[in-house]
Amino acid sequence: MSAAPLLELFEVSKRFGARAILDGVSLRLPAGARLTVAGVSGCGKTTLLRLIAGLDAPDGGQVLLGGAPASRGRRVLLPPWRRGVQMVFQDLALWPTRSVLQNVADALRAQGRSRPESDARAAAALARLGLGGLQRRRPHTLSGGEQRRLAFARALSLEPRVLLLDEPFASLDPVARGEGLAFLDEVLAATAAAVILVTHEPAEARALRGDLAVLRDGKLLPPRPCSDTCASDAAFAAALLG
Amino acid sequence: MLRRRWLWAAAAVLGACGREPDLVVYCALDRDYSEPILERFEQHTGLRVQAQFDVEQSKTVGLVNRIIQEAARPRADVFWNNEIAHTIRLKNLGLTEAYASDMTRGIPEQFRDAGGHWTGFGARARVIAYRADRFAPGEGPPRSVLRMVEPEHARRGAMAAPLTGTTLTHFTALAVLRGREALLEWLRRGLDNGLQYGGGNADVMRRVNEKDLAWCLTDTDDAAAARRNGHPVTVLFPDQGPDEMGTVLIPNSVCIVKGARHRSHAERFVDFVTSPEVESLLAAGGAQQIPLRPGVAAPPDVPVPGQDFHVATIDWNAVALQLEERRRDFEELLVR
Amino acid sequence: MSGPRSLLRAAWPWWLLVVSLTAAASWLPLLPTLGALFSADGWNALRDPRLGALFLRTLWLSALASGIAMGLGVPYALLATRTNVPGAALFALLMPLPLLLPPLLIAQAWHGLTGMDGQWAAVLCLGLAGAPLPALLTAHALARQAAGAHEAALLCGGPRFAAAEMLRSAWPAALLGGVLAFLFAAADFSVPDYMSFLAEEKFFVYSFEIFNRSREADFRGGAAAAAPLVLVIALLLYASLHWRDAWSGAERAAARPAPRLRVPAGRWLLLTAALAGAALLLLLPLGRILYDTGMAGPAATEAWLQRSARAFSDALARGRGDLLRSLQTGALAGALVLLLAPWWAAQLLRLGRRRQRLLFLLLALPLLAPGVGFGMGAIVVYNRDLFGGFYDSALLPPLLMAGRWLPLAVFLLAERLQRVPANQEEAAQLAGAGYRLRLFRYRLGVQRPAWWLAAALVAVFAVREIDLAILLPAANQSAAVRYYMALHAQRDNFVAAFGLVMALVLFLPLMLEAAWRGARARDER
Repeated sequence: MSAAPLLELFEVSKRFGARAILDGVSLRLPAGARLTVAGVSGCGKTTLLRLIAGLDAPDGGQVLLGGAPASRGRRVLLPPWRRGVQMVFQDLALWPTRSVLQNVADALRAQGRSRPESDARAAAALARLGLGGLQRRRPHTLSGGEQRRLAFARALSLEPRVLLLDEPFASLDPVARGEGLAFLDEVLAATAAAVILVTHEPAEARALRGDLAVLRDGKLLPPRPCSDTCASDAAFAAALLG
Repeated sequence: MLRRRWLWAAAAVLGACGREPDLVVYCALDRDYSEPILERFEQHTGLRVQAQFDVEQSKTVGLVNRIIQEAARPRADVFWNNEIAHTIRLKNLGLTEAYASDMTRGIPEQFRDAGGHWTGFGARARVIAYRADRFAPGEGPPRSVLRMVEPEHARRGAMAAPLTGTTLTHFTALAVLRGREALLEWLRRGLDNGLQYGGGNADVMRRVNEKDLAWCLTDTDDAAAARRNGHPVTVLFPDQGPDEMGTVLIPNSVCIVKGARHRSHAERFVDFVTSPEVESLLAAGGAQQIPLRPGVAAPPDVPVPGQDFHVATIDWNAVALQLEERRRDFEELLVR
Repeated sequence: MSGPRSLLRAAWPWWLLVVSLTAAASWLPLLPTLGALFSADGWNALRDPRLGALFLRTLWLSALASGIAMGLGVPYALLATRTNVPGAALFALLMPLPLLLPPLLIAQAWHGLTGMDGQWAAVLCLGLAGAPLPALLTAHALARQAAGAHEAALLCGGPRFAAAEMLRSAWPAALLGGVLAFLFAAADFSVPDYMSFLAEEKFFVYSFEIFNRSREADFRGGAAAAAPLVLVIALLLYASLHWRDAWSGAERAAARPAPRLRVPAGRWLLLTAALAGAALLLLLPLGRILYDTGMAGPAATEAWLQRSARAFSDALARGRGDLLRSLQTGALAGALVLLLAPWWAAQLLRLGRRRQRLLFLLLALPLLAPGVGFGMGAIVVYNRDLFGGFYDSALLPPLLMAGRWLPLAVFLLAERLQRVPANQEEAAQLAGAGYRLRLFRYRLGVQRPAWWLAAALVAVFAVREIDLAILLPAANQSAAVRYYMALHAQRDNFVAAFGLVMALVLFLPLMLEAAWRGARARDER
C-alpha cells in the first residue's frame, strides 16, 4: 500500500468577481517533493499558494494535507497555523518592530516553545543562514539579501511540512539573484519539507530541480521534470506559453 | 483657479475688518441679559457699540484686570459691572472719571458715588431659595445667613464658594460687618457641619432643583431661572427680623473709564443705562433684576426693596478695599 | 524675464512670508512663556511648594486621562479597522468625531448623565475627549501594516499571535497618540474648571494657576507660569516621536491592505464592544445633551418637544452671530493653514529623522502650551501701540488659532506627502517648474484632499477652542465662549441646544469629506 501524498488538491477553483483565477486545479505532492509552478503574471500562482496555506478559502474543490481535509468548498477546515505550512512572501513580510532575533524567536514561541528554547533555536537558525552577528538589528537596517535570508530563517525554523516560496527573488538585480540561487541550494539542503516555488524565471526553476507545472488559463498542467522543460530559457518560455 | 481662491481669501480677510465703533463697553453682566439693552441703546442713539463680555470663571475680575492693564492705553469707554465692589476698586485706583448724570437722581445714596464716579442700578438680592417639598411640617430653611452653618441647616444646604462674583462681594461685606476672624470661623463651622460650597450660584441652585439639597444661598436671578425652568422653588429674604441686618442687595454699576476715547458717547450710555426705562427692562427680563428706584414699572413677582424686604446697609468702599485680601483668605480655606 | 514674476518664481520670498507668518502666529505669543525658561524667576516659581504640588497633580491627572484615552482608543481602533465587526465602516467614521467636540461639552454631558464632578470626573472626561487621538493614530498604523506581515504571523502562530503582532506594529503610534492625549489633558483649562466648579471639594490644576496669575500680577506672570509644563510636554513629545521613528522603521504604505481578523464566533461580542466604545465616546454624551434640550422641572407646563424646539430656535436666534463669527475665524485660520502647512510639511520630509523631530517640535510649541498661557502671551505681545487696531480686530484670533493648530495640519500633510514619489517633483524640476509650483501642483498632487482636510481640521479646532477664546478680547464674541458662559449660568435647555448646534457645525466638514471620499471610491469602482 503506497502512503497518502502529503498535499492533494482536487478540482480547486477560485474566482475574483467574474474572473476564474483557478478553474478545477488538481495536484498531488509527496513528502519532500520539489515543484515549480510557473505562469505569466496574474495567472493565479500566488492565489494557489494562499489556498494551500489556508490564507484564503477556495470557491470549490478540496485541499488535503496528509490525507486529512484542510479546505472543502468555501470552508477552511484546518486553519493556516495548524497545517504545518510556511511561506516566504514576495515582500518577505518581516515584522518591522521586532529585531532580527525576535522575528524568528517570536514565531517559535507562538508554537508553544519556551523563551530560552525559542531564542536558542532562533539564534542557531540565524547562524546557519549567515545572520549570526545581526541578531539585535531591525529588519529595515538589513540589506535586501539579508532580509531574504531572515525570511527563510523564520520559515525554516518552524520545520514546516510544506514550504511555499512566492517569487522570493523577484526584483533582485542579476548579481543578487545569482547569490540568491546559491542560497536556495543551501536552504534546500537544510530542509526535508516539500517545496513549492512560484516563479516565472527559468533559472529559479532550474535551481529548485524537481518538476515544473505551468498554470495557464486557470488550469494547472500536469507536472513534467524540470530537466526537460527548464533545460533552456527557450524551452521554459515554450512551456510557459504553450 | 488658484488665483480665484486667493481672491476669496482676500475678500474674507477684508470682510473681517469692521469699522471703528462709536463706544466700547466692557460688560460683566451676563451677555444674554445685557445684549438686548445694548441693542436698544444702539437703536436709540444710532451709535455703534462694541461690547466685551466677561467670562464666568473670571467673573468681573477679568474685565477689571483688563482695564487696569490697559490704563496707559484705555480701550474701554464704559465699564458696566454686574456688582459694585470691583467698580469702586477701579475708582480707588484712579481709573474712573466723574460724571454727574441727571439720570441718577432717585437712586438711593448707598448705591451711587458722591463724586459721580459710579452709579448702581438694577440689583440682585442675596436670598435663600428652597424646595418646600423637602421639608417636613414645622421644618424650614435658615431664616438668617448667619444660621446657615448650624448643624440642622448646614447638612441640607449649599452656597457658592465665595471666590468670585456676587458671593465674594457678599461675604466680603459680611467680613466688613462682622470682622475677618469671625467670618472665617463661620466658614470653618460650615465646613465642619457639612455645608456644601458649590461652584457658583447657578450650580447650587441646580442642586436644589434636582432635589439633592433642600435649600441654597443664591441670587434672585438664579432663583427666577429655576422657577422659569419649572422647578417648584420658593424664595426667602434672609435676616428680616427687627434686630437683623437685612438682605444684601448687590446692584449693577456703571462707570466711565479714565481716558475714554469716546467720552460724550460714554456719558450718553451712562444716562441711558441708569434710566428708569433700563431698570424696568432689567426687571422684566429673564434675570428679574430689582429696580433701586421706587416706583419703576416691574412685573408683580419682582420684589420691591423696603416694601417686600428690608435692605442691609453696607459700606461699599470698605468692601472694595478688602475684596482681594478676603478672596485670598477664602481660597486658602476652601481650595485644595 | 526679470522683476516681480521672477521674484515669485524664486523660493525665498515665499519662505520669508511663510516663516514671518508662522512666527507671528506661533512663536511670538510664546516669547513670554519661553523667556521664563531662561530667567531665574521662572524656575524659582516652581520652588513654591503649592505650585510644585499643582504641577505634579496636573502631570499625574493628565497621565491618568491619557491612560483612559489609550485604554479606550486602542481597542476601539482595533475593532473598527481590523476585525469583522458588523458595521465596521460606521464605527471607523465615528472615531474622530469626539475630538471635534469641545471637551467641555463632553464634560457637561457626563455630568448630566451621572452627576459626576471633581478631579476624577475631570480625568475621565479628558480621557474620553482625548481617546480619538490614540484611536486615530493606532487605526492609521494598523491600516499600514503589510498584509504579508499579518499573514506570516497567522501562519506562524494563529490569530492570537497575529493579533499580538498587529498590536506591536501599532504600538509606537498608539503611544504617540497617548502622549498627544496627555498634552491635550494637561493643557486643558475648561474641563477641570467646570468639574471643580461643580464639586464640593474644589481642586486646582496647573492651568488654573496660569489663569489666576493674571488676577494678581499681570498676563506676563501667567504666560511665564506655563513654561515648565511646555518643557515637560515637549520632552515627552520628542521622546515619543523618537521612539516611533526608531520602532516603525522603514514604514511605508502597504500595497495590499492587511486583512481583518475573522472572529466568527465572537462577532456579536465584537459588536457589543464596539457599540459600548461608540456609546461611551460619542452616542451617550450626545444623547444626554439632546435630552437636556427639553428637560424641565416638574412644574413645567410645556412638553419636552416644545421646550426642545424652543431651545433650538433660541440657540439659532441668539447664537447665530457668534457662530458666524466663529466660522469666519475658522475659515480664516484654515485659509492661513492652506498656505503654511504644505511648506512646512515638505520641509520636514527633506530633513533627516532627528532634524525632522526638532522642526516638528518647534512647530508644535503653541500646541504644547496651555491655551490660557498661549492666549496671555499673545496679549502681552500684541496689546501694544505698535500693532494699532490689529489687537482688537477680527484678524488676530484666526492668526493665533492657525498658529496653535498648524502642527496638526503639518503632521497630517507630511504623512500624506510621504506617499508621493519624489521623482514626480523631480520630473517637474527638470521641466523647469519653480519651487512653489512644484510644491503646490506636483508635490501636493493627488494629496490635495488631505491638504483641504488639514485646513478644515484647523478650522474646526479654531471654532471649538475655548481656552484661548475666553482670554482674547477679539475672540470673546464666539460660539465657544457663549457656550462656556451659558454653561456656567443656569440655562440648561439653551446650553444643550447650542452645544448640539455647535457639534453639528463641527462635524459637518468631516462628514462632507467622508461622503465625498465614499462617492469617489464608488466612482473608481
